[in-house]
Amino acid sequence: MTDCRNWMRELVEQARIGAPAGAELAAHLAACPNCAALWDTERELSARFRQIRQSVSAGDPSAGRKCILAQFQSQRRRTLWQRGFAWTLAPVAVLVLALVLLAPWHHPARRGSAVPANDVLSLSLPGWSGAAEDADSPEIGPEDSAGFLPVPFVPPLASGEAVRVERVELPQAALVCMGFAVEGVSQNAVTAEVVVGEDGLPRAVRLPDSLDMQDRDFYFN
Amino acid sequence: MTSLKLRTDEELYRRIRNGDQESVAVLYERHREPLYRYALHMSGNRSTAEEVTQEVFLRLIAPGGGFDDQRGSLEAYLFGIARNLLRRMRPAMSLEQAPEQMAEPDALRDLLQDETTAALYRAVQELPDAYREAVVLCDLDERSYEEAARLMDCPVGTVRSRLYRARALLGAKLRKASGRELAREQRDRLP
Repeated sequence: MTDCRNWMRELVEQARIGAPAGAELAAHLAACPNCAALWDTERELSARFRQIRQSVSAGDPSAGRKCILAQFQSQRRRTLWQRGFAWTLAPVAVLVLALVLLAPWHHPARRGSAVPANDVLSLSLPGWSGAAEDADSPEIGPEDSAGFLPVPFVPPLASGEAVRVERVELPQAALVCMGFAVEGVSQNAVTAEVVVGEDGLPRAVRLPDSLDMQDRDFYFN
Repeated sequence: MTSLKLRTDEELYRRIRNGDQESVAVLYERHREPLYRYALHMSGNRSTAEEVTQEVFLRLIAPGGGFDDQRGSLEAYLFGIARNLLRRMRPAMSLEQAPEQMAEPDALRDLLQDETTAALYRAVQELPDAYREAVVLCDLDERSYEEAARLMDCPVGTVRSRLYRARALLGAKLRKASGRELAREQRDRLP
């Protein structure tokens, strides 16, 4: 029995390739009817497998190949389009983002401003280009800027600094405090428009139009 | 095209990933028939074999295909796809096909004239998957044990033992079928 097991491998392998049994195997087959029967079966099995192999054909490949290549082309086009779209979209997205971030409503100087800063006042004050910050303050155009007198001894306005215009009751003493030379100071208060910088310091004063030149001369000699 | 035919599967695959259509055609020519035969003998059905073969190539060319040459050959990868597809399709086929259709796979159309060969082919279809795969690759596709082991992703010894076991089962059925045929022939000869 052990002897038969030893022959089994060679027997199957020889039958699979359709080779005749070698001398030693042939001698064993002649002596062992079980192995001889197995040898016949294995050979027949191999012969039938050959028959099956020969009867199978994979058919015409052209239709399948055409389909695969068409699919490949379509996928390729889609991939290229997606890649192109992504490359186009990226700079557009960056551009849009830049526009949003740099938009005028993001600029701190413009936030809440009704009138562009440089259009509000173009006084003869050196370095002054401001905006009326306070919505309640009177809106002043370039034509309204006449008559403002710069307040002496205060630092000049920075370029682009926002300003507001306040209408206030000013005692004459306050005018003196601002550095104006006033003759004959009285206790009367006058209504004046004061341009105030971002730091809260007055930068210019305009006295009301109702005051005539004589009165002005009275205040400012 | 001629120079492409000399290139390895893996080189061709890399070219496919870079959009080379000719490499697709070369790989298709190279692997279509073995894949078709494998799918045909594993399923016993021509239309299933055609479907599986096409699907394997469609998956190969699909964007982001999952082949990694560090993990095995491209051929083994293709056979792996086919094996998975067949496993997935087999329960559906069993439910859809009537028992008489199952008993006679359409791949047998040309073999039905020889009853014993037809019986043997049916016996192959009835083998467990692992045994059938060994017979299909080693005996019906004439691959070496080493090649079969690579495609089946198992050791050579496993392939050999599965094949011997499968052949023993088939041999028993063949003897039975041959005996029946012999008896029928003898009956036919009687006056």
